[in-house]
This record gives sequence, structure tokens and C-alpha cells, in this order.
Amino acid sequence: MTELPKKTNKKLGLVIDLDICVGCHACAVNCKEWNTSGHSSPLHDVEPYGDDPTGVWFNRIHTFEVETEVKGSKTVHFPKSCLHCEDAPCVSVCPTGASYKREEDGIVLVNADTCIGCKLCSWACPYGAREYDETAGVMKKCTLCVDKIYNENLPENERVPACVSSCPTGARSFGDLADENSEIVKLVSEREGYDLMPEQDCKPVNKYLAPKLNKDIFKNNELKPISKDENQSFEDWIEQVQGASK
Amino acid sequence: MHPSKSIIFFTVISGTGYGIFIGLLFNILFEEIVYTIEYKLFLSLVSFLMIVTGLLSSTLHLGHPERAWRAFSQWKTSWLSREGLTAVITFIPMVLFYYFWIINIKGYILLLILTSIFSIITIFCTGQMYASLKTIPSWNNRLVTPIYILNGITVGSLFVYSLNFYFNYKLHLFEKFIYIIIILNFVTKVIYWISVRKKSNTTIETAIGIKSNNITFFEGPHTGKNYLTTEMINAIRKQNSNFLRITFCILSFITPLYMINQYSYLVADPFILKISMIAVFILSFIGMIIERYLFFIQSKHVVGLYYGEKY
Amino acid sequence: MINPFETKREVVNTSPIVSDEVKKTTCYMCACRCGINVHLKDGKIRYIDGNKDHPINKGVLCAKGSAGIMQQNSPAKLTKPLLRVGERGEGNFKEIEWDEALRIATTWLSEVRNKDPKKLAFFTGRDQSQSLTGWWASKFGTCNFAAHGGFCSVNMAAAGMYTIGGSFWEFGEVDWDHTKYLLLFGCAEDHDSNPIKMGLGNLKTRKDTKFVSINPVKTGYSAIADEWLGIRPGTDGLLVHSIIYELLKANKIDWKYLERFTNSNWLVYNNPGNKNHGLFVRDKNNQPLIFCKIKKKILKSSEENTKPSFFGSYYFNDVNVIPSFELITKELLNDDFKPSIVASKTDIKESVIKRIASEIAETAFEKEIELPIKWTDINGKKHDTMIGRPVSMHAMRGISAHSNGFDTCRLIHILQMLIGSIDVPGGFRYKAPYPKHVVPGPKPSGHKSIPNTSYDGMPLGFPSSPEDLLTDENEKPIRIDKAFSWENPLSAHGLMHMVINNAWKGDPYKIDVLFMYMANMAWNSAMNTKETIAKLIDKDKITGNYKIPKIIYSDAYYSETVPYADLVLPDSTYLERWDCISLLDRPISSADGAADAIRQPVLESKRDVRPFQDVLIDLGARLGLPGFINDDFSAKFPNGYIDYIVNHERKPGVGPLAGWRGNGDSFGKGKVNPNQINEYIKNGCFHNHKFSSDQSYYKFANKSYINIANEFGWIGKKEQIVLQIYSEEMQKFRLASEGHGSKKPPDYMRARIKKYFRPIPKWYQPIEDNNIESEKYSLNAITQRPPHMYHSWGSHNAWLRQITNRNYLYISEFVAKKNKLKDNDWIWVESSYNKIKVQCRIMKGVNKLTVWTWNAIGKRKGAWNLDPKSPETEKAFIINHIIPDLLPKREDGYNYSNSDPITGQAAWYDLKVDIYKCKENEIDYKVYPAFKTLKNKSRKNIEINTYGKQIKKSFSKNQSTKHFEYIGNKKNY
Ligand SMILES: Nc1nc2c(c(=O)[nH]1)N[C@H]1C(S)=C(S)[C@@H](COP(=O)(O)OP(=O)(O)OC[C@H]3O[C@@H](n4cnc5c(=O)[nH]c(N)nc54)[C@H](O)[C@@H]3O)O[C@H]1N2
Ligand SMILES: Nc1nc2c(c(=O)[nH]1)N[C@H]1C(S)=C(S)[C@@H](COP(=O)(O)OP(=O)(O)OC[C@H]3O[C@@H](n4cnc5c(=O)[nH]c(N)nc54)[C@H](O)[C@@H]3O)O[C@H]1N2
Ligand code: SF4
Ligand code: SF4
Ligand code: SF4
Ligand code: SF4
Ligand code: SF4
Ligand SMILES: [Mo]
Repeated sequence: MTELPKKTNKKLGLVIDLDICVGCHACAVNCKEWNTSGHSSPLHDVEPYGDDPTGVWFNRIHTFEVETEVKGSKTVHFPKSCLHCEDAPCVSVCPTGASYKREEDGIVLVNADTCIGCKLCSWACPYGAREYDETAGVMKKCTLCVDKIYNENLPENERVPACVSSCPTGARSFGDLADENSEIVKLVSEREGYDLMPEQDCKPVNKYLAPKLNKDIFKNNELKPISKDENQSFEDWIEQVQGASK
Repeated sequence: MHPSKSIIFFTVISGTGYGIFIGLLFNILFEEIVYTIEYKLFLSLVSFLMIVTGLLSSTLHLGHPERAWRAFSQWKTSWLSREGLTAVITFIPMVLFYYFWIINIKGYILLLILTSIFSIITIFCTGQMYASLKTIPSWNNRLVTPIYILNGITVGSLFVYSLNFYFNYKLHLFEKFIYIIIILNFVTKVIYWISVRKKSNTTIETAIGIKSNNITFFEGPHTGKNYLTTEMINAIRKQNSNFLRITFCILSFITPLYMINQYSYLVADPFILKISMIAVFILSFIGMIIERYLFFIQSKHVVGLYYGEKY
Repeated sequence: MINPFETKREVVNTSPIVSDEVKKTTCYMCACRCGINVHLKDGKIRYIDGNKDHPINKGVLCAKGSAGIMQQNSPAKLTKPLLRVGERGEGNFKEIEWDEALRIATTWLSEVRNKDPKKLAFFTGRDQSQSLTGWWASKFGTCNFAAHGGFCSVNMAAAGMYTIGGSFWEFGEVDWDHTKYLLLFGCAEDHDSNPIKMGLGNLKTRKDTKFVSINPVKTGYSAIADEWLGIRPGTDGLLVHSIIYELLKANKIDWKYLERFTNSNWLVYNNPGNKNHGLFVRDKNNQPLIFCKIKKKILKSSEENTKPSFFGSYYFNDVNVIPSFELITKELLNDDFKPSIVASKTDIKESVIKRIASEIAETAFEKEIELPIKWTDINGKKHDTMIGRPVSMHAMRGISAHSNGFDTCRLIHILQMLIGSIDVPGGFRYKAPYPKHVVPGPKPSGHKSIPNTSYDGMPLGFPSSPEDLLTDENEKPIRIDKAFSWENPLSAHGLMHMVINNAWKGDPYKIDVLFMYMANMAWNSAMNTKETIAKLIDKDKITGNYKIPKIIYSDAYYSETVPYADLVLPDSTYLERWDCISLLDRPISSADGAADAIRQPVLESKRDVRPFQDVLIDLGARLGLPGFINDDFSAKFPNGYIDYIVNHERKPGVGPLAGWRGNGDSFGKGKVNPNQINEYIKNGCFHNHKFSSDQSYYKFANKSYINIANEFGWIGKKEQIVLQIYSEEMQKFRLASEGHGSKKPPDYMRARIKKYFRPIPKWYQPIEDNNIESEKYSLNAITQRPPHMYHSWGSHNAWLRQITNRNYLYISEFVAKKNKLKDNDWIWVESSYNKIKVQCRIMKGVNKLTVWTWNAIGKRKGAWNLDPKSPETEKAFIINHIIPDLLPKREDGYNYSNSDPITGQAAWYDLKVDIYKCKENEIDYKVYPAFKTLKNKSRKNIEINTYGKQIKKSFSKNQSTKHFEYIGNKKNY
């Protein structure tokens, strides 16, 4: 049903730590790699070696320069994929029911067999998380690696989204954000995880952790020279350090 | 937003088709005209073709037109689905109306009223489909749906008017009706244009969630294009858009007003006048296409914030 | 039945069968060498992910590694050996069979070997089989061999090896788990790509830590730094001087560490004008001496229970001697290094320098950490704990790619020594097989070039005095790249960037064959590209022959260099061949263990290509090189490289792979084990010999560690490795410049040697600055590596090029304002040499006098099988076109190379430029210069990439609904 489930049993999603994301695109490419042969396969590339290549990606990295009061500008790398919103507008606008939110875990998916490719859902998503595959004529999107996270054919510790397991800095976490006792919920509350575009009322499940801007862990701003004399001679310096280290 | 040709064409032509019924209804109710069979057949054919072409062309931009029938299922939530459904439902009173009206069976007025109601509902759904998208602040505006409806009625009525003119039917109130509709439409449009200048409360700060009064875009995910940038990020230069707005007003509003008001003073061959009146309709139709083009090209999707677009 | 009101629900099968088989091997989308799992389905690659057990990447995978499928899929792959027809550079080739290719190569090479072996210049690029290629060169008998280190980061390697017996680069690492304060100098990606990212994530998610990045540009790692110091390029040495100055003035020095682990107490002759001036005072047994404050006499430095003095003036055999530390501090306390003076030259505020110095001291001395690990030092003394000063440093090409990089790097090492943070918990750590005794052996060989005769030693090494140089009796260079000559005496990795110029010029002599492997020398690894290309095709006016007569090149893809070869040997891809990442070479070790790895073929090549190593071994046998043939002249390794990997022994019991030797139970040394490769494959294609915890720190003076390092053959003696805060080797060269010793620089080079060779490093202005009108060329121009692209290898990758297929010159708001520039303006970037036309963009996070761009995005039309109209060719650029390869002429008409005067490291980042807006009529929306389109008959247009479609879907019945939580940085699996 394109109607959103009243409540989902789980709220599976990602938590992305902007404090440690170095913008390396690993998550984006690994996502593409898993998914091009996965649930939504293939993620076509058009004119891959041509003069204006383009293709289907579920996860992308943007970079901003943010002026802050504390320390001048800050470069912020900002990865973004589907946020698996609780009030997903992409789902409710879909005329065919191809776009749906799973009741069991809240994952938002597109049924490629019924999607008519009207693109309306991509207009409705404020985050740009929907990817129209021109070649296939259907809408695609981040599946939260639904064919990986439960996959019985993979060892247990590999059953995490591709973008999460590949991220070299560990900026991405995955889990059930409805489970109050989970580590991921703790992480979110500890770091005051937030929603993107809250005013769009999509209630995204994915959370972001802000870059830490100020870190004052030091007592002093300056070293005290052993001598007050600005023009202390080298010999005096030797004498004083020798005295001090006795 | 990307101005997709088929969507622009579809919304304008089917809107016009639906608008014809409103115009006709007004005439049937308030003007005393004895319609010839040619008139009936022609109007029926044109309105039918407009609506059908519109609907068919709307499937052109689909990735899978052969699955379009699936679009009816989500009427509970989706305006697009509702639109599809109402469009189809409209056909029932519409076809019956054609039939009753052409062979002059009583009750056609009732059917026309029904057709008109469904026509408005259909345009309403179309309008709502856009107006309900919070992601595009200039669409998410209370005036969008009324404008869709007014546009349909305006051009539809102009069609009816030019046809009546062609058939030499005398009109009194209908001209006033058109004045009012056009002026209403114009005023709404102007208010709309002013109201969309308001800043959206979705900003780059809320988009990435970091507080700062100076956030600049450094690099995007691709140095080239992607689906989002081609579909959602399109721009038109200010001068061009102003020019197009004026053109639209001249074509869709001023020309018809002028012609309806002035034709009696114009010295011309009656046949040429008739043809000119049809041209007036066509020009206003073209004006509407321009308006719809602007509706897309000028509106910015909030996703542009992630690509350094300024609002 | 069609029911339009039905909502058809999708049944998601959540357990598709991922692969028929998972083959583990080692990534080679860059030189980091992570462990990967290649999931194969229907004989195709379904997915590549990181190997969780692997010591390097522990399961993570970067963007390049994740794009391996598309590298394998690249249409630019070479398919058959090529023989040039027509003129060089035109790209007209004839496909030939391997037999013919090898016959031609053998003929060319044997002609050289019969006449004068050094007329073969064999230079390899980014490969990781230098222990094979170097050995091959030495068996061939040519001294003209080197890999890419000379244009890469030899400054880091050499500065470290001559100072602390190990180095940054990929040979050392930060103690990520314990460090509390990291200073990262000039590093964008580094070879330790994934480990650094994992480490930074770890550091930043621990409380009470701080990460400071010193970098003119704030992107990548610098973006997540807690503090960014936007330094002016080339001035890091000054900053470090200033920090050292502050620490010394405040007596924030680890005296104990200096005393126990460095040569700061060693006595130095203060005997100006004499041949021993500045050298260490040694006894008859060559043991360095100290002055003991308790016993009040001069004693051996290794003597126990002494209290060596750091300062003072003593007499030894009537000659005045002084502890080296006094000389060092005297130099380093120079008031020129006061923060207030340094600030304006480095663009770092005085208060910031002072604060950083203070934070370093506070962390080192007040946040000392103590690990409960018992260990025994080299003197047998037992310690209950390991004490650490948790300040770590790491530095890379932002330091090394300047002509003052060697000394800047030495200054950083001195700073580390002063606060006692080398190889201690929380500090910088050596990776096996380092540390080595300073200066490590061997010395470069190659004095003579005798027909059909091999060398005993290897072409590259570490000279420790002028006697070790490779110069002839007239002090002229012996090597074609002039490595180990007076021009760049400590050029431990050669000077690949000078080969083409010198060979073309015939300076010091002409060569017959240039044999290159895996180096894009006609493009992104060249300086002054235009002339380099011209030199490759230049002909002798009289004979009409090419000045570089024969060029053999091995590449795997149609790069810019391929068309310049006469004979192209097509290589396999990294997923198709055996490779060996050996402890004899550049291993994958960490500080916690010695590790090596292999690559196994996971796919069969469908092209007529051969792994280069196989080819090299085959050529070795065909040429009859010793070591490559048996006594009966049959090939010693008939099965190619894999045969060599298992069966070759460099020294008895020591082969390319250290794991599972002997009966499969010995590490490091042991007889050849025919089953060795299977063991590697079983273990995921690597072997990691973990050190016991008591061996993990203080390796230079850790008895248990030194014993095993000696057993494994990593170090020659079971003696403490003394850190060289004062460099006697440098002083030896300096003395030679003053006319002492048997080998002296030619007169015209004396001043140069004297200027740059100092026992105590002192910052100097990068050389280019002194040679140009610095008013005009006032901006520093540098490049950075994009994290998702590996040099030129990324652009033919369908996925990676979608991320970046063009670049801009990034400029500061200051420069933009001054030059009235806006985003996307077309501008000229002019150096004293040449100019390019590119588009600019304005950014905030950049030093105000620095402009920069991403490295190696620009491509030449026709290369890499891309559409010749690709953005890579029309909008993207490389700045190599304007980087001079030679410095301006000296009075006598000679040009030095644009390199560090000590090591020969290419000075890429010394570049100074001027920028200005293009005139309206100059704008054609394309970059300048545009080179002729390279011919490449194999290019086809591929409209759509449907990769993934071919992989059939099948599912296992079991459906699970259980998921696993994964908290990024905790890696809680
Ligand atoms: N402006 C500027 N220039 C620079 C630098 C900079 O920072 N700025 N950095 C310098 C540094 S540090 C370096 S190391 C150099 C790197 O420069 P190069 O060593 O030239 O680097 P690559 O582009 O990696 O090219 C190596 C060649 O290897 C080929 N290749 C790839 N895989 C294989 C394989 O499996 N087998 C074979 N046989 N060939 C293969 C590629 O096709 C390519 O032609 O660039 C230098 N140039
Ligand atoms: N993704 C990726 N990884 C790679 C490579 C690649 O091509 N792509 N190449 C590999 C190779 S061959 C090498 S050599 C390594 C090099 O690895 P890095 O050393 O990380 O190489 P660069 O990108 O040259 O980065 C140098 C950094 O120094 C800064 N810098 C320049 N001048 C100065 C200066 O004077 N002072 C300071 N403090 N900073 C300065 C630059 O802004 C840049 O951030 O990377 C290896 N890893
Ligand atoms: S992020 Fe976009 S696509 Fe994903 S659930 Fe929310 S609205 Fe839908
Ligand atoms: S594109 Fe497909 S999923 Fe999206 S709204 Fe249309 S039918 Fe639904
Ligand atoms: S969860 Fe899976 S599909 Fe979604 S962005 Fe991550 S890797 Fe891509
Ligand atoms: S992989 Fe991790 S660090 Fe890299 S861009 Fe993605 S989230 Fe950021
Ligand atoms: S850092 Fe990336 S490209 Fe390099 S070896 Fe590791 S996974 Fe491969
Ligand atoms: Mo390098």
C-alpha cells in the first residue's frame, strides 16, 4: 500500500557522523557496487566513457564550507542517501503503490515491477534520495541494502549495509533506531543526532551527528620560558636547563 | 524543475478540454442559443480529443506507459492517482453528455453539470499534485490549484467563445464571464508571483543541519550531471523569465480581452474576424504553454540546496 | 487478471545468493594494499569488499577499491603486444604475438648487455615488485635502475632513514589507539590510505584528543581536524623550528629519552678547518664517546651507569670536543625562529604557534601514558611499564615534495625526539622491518659497467659518506639519472624524473634502450610535460635516429605513455595475476606485526596479455642472466613469477615471502616450502607475524625486538639503534665540500654542498623561490590527491570518473578579490616556464597565497579509451605542464634538476605562479594547452553500462529478519 504503515516494528536506519567523515566517497562507490547486482540491479551508467557520463547512484557525498564563529571556516563533508522517513512523502504520492514502506522494518523501497516511472516520488522527496533509472524506466533508491542486511548467505558480521561496512573512518552506523536500548540510539542521544530539513515533516529515520566545533582540553595557551629575560644568552639558557634538570 | 514537454502539453491541453465544459455550461445555462449539430459535433470532438491527447501524452513521460493502468490504485493517498481516476470517471458523464446533447435528449444539462464538476475535480487533482509538494516551495502554494482551474476555464471558455463567434451565436453574459475569469486569473497570477518570492523556511542550514549564516557549496558528488541536477535543477535567466511572463499575459489575457472588447469596432471581413477569434484562442493556448513552462523552469526544488543552488 | 485497484505487493527476497565463490586477494587500486574478498558469481565479479581479518584495512574498503569491478571492465585495457609502425607518438601499432615481442625485446636487450649494460635504463613506476625489478637490473648489470620513489617521497624515506632508522610515508604509523595529539603535516591521502582514515576516526571519537592538520588546504583529512593551520607551502620547517624554539626555551624536553635513545650526548670534534671537525669522537673500536658528569671523564657511550653531559667543552687528545646537543641547541635556539618572526613567513599567527607548542608540551609531559607492559631494554634492564608521550606526528608529500623537504622532515624527527615520542605508546611507531641502524646498508652498486656482467649488490642504497657516491674519477655522475652524484648525493630512490631529459641530452651519456614499467612518464608523472614528450620523439639531426633509440614499455591500459613506446608489453590487471608484496620490498606490515601478502589471479584474462613479472623473469632467462637460469642454461623459474615467489632465495632461507617457510612453521627464515602459496591463499593471501606485546614499542632499544629483527635478517647486528639527532653523515659531505677527504665535489658544486649539507638541519627557502621574479610569481601552486582517484588510473573507471571528470584551480577569496575573479572564470596560470588556461573556483579553506587543484584528473585526448571530447580532456588539466623539470641555468650554462639538492626528490610543490583572467577573445571553453589527439584504434563507444544485469539472481530459501547493529567507529562485530 502506498499508504504509510501506521507504525513500523523497527526503524532501521543509518547514523552519519559528520565529525569524522572525510568525504572519501567509499560509501558511495561501495553502495553502487553492491547494488548494481543487487535488489535494484543494474544501476545503469549512460555514456560511461563518453563526454558527459552519468549513472544511477544511491548515495552521494557533498562538500560545504561552513563559516563558524569559533574557528573560521569548516569544511564539511556530507554524505546522503535515503533517510527512510517515517512520514515519507515519496510513498504517499506514488500513484501505483510501487513505492512503499515496509511495515516490518520501515525500509522504503520501490517495486520495480509496478513502477510506471512517473518520477513524482522523486519530486516529493526533499533530500534527492530517489534515482530515476532512465534506461530501465523505473525509479530506484537506496534499499538500506535489504538484500544484504538479512542475507543468510553472508556471514553474520557482513550483514550490514555496504556503505557502512566499507566506510574507512567509521562515520556510518547502522541499527534499529526504534530500539531504545540499542547502541545506535545511545550514540544519537549522546551526540544529539538531528534530522535533516525537519520543517519538511518527513520524520527521517536516519540521523546526523554534527561536527564538533570547539574542543578546549588544554590548560595553557603558551609555554613559560624558564627565564623571564627575553634576551637570555645561550650560556644562561644552558645553565638554567641544567639547573632545572638536576 | 525540468520542463518536460509532455507534461506541459498534457496539463495545458487537457485543462483546456475540461475548461470547454465549463464555458459550454455557462452558455447553455445563461445564453439562449440554439446549437446546430455541426457545432455540437465539432465541440464534442475537439474537447474529447483534447482530453484524450492530453491523457495519452501524459503517459509519454512515463518510463513504463504500458503500466499506466496501475496508477489508479492509490487514490486514497496519491493526487496523481486521483487525477487519473477522476479523469477516467469524467469520461462517463462526458460521453453520455455528448450523446444526449447531440441527439438532443433531455437531461443533457444534468450530464453537463456532472461533467463540469468532474472536470474541475480532475484539474483540481492535477493542481493538488503540484501544490501538495512541499519540496517545491513555489508550487506548495494555495494559489496553484486555483490557477490550474482558472487556466483551464480561461482557455476552454475562449475556445467556446471563438466557436460561438464562428457560428455567429449572440453572446451577452458570456463575454462578461470571460472578462471576469481573465481578470480573476490575472489577479491571482500576480498575487501568486508576488507570494512565491517569499523565502522558504527550508534553507541550506536545515538541509545539512549546521547553524551558520554563511554556508557555501564546495564540491558536489559529481563534477558532471546526475538525475537530480537534470530533473530538479534548471534555471532561466531573470530577463528571459520576465519577458516570458509578459508574453504570457499578452497572449492569454490582453489579446482576448482586447479582441472581445474591440472586435465590433474592427473593420474587417467577417470571415477574417472569425478566424482571428480562433487565433485568439490559439494564442491564449500558447500563452498557457508558456505559463506552464515557466511554472516548471522557475520553480526550485529544495534538493538544489545540496547542489549549491541559491534561493 | 488486471485489477487496476489492486496494490501489488513486492515480495522481497532478502537472501540472494551472493556468490558461488569468494576469493581473497590483495587490492591494487592503489598502493595501500588492503585485503579484499572478491565475490564471484557465474565467473563474474559480483562484489568486492574488505577482508575483516586483514591487518591493513580490517574490513573497510575505499572508493577506489570498491570500483575494482569497473577497472576490470575498463575498455582501455591493452589486449595484445604492440609494435610501433610509423613514427613514435603517432599511436600506430601493429599487434604482434608474444613470441615475437619477447624475441625483439631479447635482441634489443642482449645487444646492450653485450656492449655496455648501463645503456639500458630500466625504470619502474608505481609497482610493488622492486625487489624483483631491482634484482633483475643488478643481474643485467645496469646501474640505471630505479622505481618511482625519486619523484614521489624519497625525502621522507631518506630523512627518516638517516635520522631515526625508519620513516613516515608507509613505513611508520601513528599509535592510533593511544595518541592524544596528532600533528599531521602535508598529507592528503598517503599510501596508508585506509589505515589513516580508520585511525583518524578512532582518534576523533576518543575523548581528550586533538588532531591538528598543517596544510595549506582544508579538505579531506584536514576537514575533520580539530584545528587547521593553513600554512604557506614550503615553510613547515620554519614552523617546526619555532615550536622547537618554544619547547627549548621552556625546557619542555624529554632529557631522559634523549640520553637513552639518541646521540645527543655523543661528543663532536670542535676543530674548525680540520678533517674531523664536526665528526663524532670515537675510540679505537670506533665507539662513540660521551663525557660522564659523575666520573668526570670521557667514556664509551654504551658504558652503563654514566651520567653523560649534554653541554660543555672537553678535550680529547688535546682537541676540543663538545656534546652534540650543545651544537644542536645552539643552532635551534636561533632567535630567527621566534614565533613572532616566523609568523609572517608561515602565515600562522604567533599566538597560534605558541599555543600549539604549549599543547604539545602539555600532552607530552602532563598526559603521559603508561602501559602495563613489562619489557627488557637492550642492556638487559627490566622495566615494568612502557611510558608514552602521546603526541604523534605524521608527514607526507606536503613536506617531501619541496626542495627543502629532507631537512624539514629531519626537523620534524628532531621535534619528535626532543619530546621523546618516537616508538613509544601514543607516539609515532615503526612498522616492520624498521627500525634499522642508521645509516642502513647496502650502498648503491654500479661503479663499472662490464659487458655481460652482473653486480653483486643492488643499484639503490644509502650512501653514508662521499666514498659511497656513484661518480667517476672526474666526479661526474655514473648513472643516467645522476643519482648518487654530487648533484643529489643521497638520492636513495634514484631520479626517475630526470631520465628522459638526460637520456635525450646524452648527459652524462647516451643510452640505447629505455625500459619502463607502470609509469605514465609522458603525462602525469612528468614535469614540463610538453618538453618531455618532445624529447621522447626528438631525432638526431645527423643520423635521423631517435635520440632515445629504443623504448620498451609495459602498461596494462592505454595510457598517455603507450603511444611513445616502440614495443608495448601489455600487462594483466591486478585481479588476473600473481603478485608478491614482500618484506624485502614494501611490505604490508604494521607496528604490531610483520606482514607480507600476495595477489592471486581471481579471474582469467581473456586478452593476450602476460603479467609483467612473468615477462621479466622470462626475459631474464632468455638473456641468460645469472639467477634466472640453471647451470644447464634452462630457465630457473619456468612457471614464471609464482615459481620465483616460492623458490627464489635472496639469502639462504630468505625469500620473497616470509610466512610458512620450511615445513610451514617458520617465519622469516627457512627453506623453500612448496606449499607456501596454498597457505597464503588459505589465510586470505597474507601472513601477519604478530609481535609479542613486549616487542611493540621502544623497538630501537628493545632487546626482545632487536633479537628477532636480527634473526629475521632485518638488521645486521643485535645492537641498539641510536637515533641520530645530529647527523654525522651530513657533516661528512660538508667536510668534503670544504676540501677534506679523498672524494670531493667538483669546485663549482662546493658551495652548493656546503649550503645544504648540515649536521643540524636548518630551514631554507625552497630553491625555486630564489630563481624567479618572486614579485610576479607570488602564489604557491600545489596539487592534492583526490581520495577516490589513483593518479591516472581512475579516469577510465566508469564509476570513479562520474565523481570527478574535471578539475578547477581553487583560489582563496583574497586572490579572487585581488585579481577580480569569480567562480568558473577562465584564467591563465603562468609559471616562470609556461602557462595553462583553466577555470577557477573560489574557496575559503585555503592559505591565502596558495592555489591548488586535484592531481592527475586532466587527460590527453585519445588516451584511456575515453571519448576525445571528454571533460577530462577539455575542461580538466594537470599542472605538470608548468612545473619546470630543470632549474634556470647556472652561470656556466648548466641546469640543475628541480629537486631537493640532497636527495633528488622532485620538487613538485615548489611551483610559483601568477594568475590572471583570460581576455574575452581567448575563451574557447577549453583548457590550454591542448595536445594532439592520440591515435587509438581500439576505442569503441559504449553507450550504456549494464554491469550487474548479467549476474543472475538466485535465492536461498532461508529468510531471516534478524539484523546486526554496527556502530561505525567501534567496529562491534
Ligand atoms: N603535479 C603533480 N604531479 C605528480 C604528483 C603530484 O603530486 N603533483 N605526484 C607524483 C608522484 S608522488 C607520483 S608517485 C607520480 C605517479 O605517477 P605514475 O607513476 O606515472 O602514476 P600512475 O598514473 O599511477 O601511472 C602509472 C601507469 O601504470 C599503469 N598501470 C596501472 N595498473 C597497471 C598494472 O597492473 N600493470 C602495469 N604494467 N601498468 C599498470 C597505468 O595505466 C599508468 O599508465 O606522479 C607524480 N606526479
Ligand atoms: N587516493 C589516492 N591515494 C594515493 C595516491 C593517489 O593518487 N590517490 N597516490 C599515492 C602516492 S604515489 C603518494 S606519493 C601518496 C601521497 O600522499 P599525500 O602526501 O597525502 O599526497 P598529496 O596529495 O600530494 O598531499 C600532499 C598534501 O600536502 C599539502 N601540501 C602541499 N604543500 C605543502 C606544504 O608546504 N606544507 C604542508 N604542510 N602541506 C603541504 C597538500 O595540500 C596536500 O594536502 O598518496 C598515495 N595514495
Ligand atoms: S529520504 Fe526521500 S526517498 Fe527516502 S524515504 Fe524520505 S522522502 Fe522517501
Ligand atoms: S516513479 Fe514509480 S515509485 Fe515513483 S511515484 Fe511513480 S510509480 Fe511510484
Ligand atoms: S544502505 Fe545500502 S543502498 Fe543505502 S546507501 Fe547504504 S549501501 Fe547504498
Ligand atoms: S565512506 Fe565514510 S568517510 Fe568516506 S565519505 Fe562515506 S561516510 Fe564519509
Ligand atoms: S586504499 Fe583502497 S584502493 Fe588502496 S588498496 Fe586499499 S582498498 Fe584498494
Ligand atoms: Mo608517489
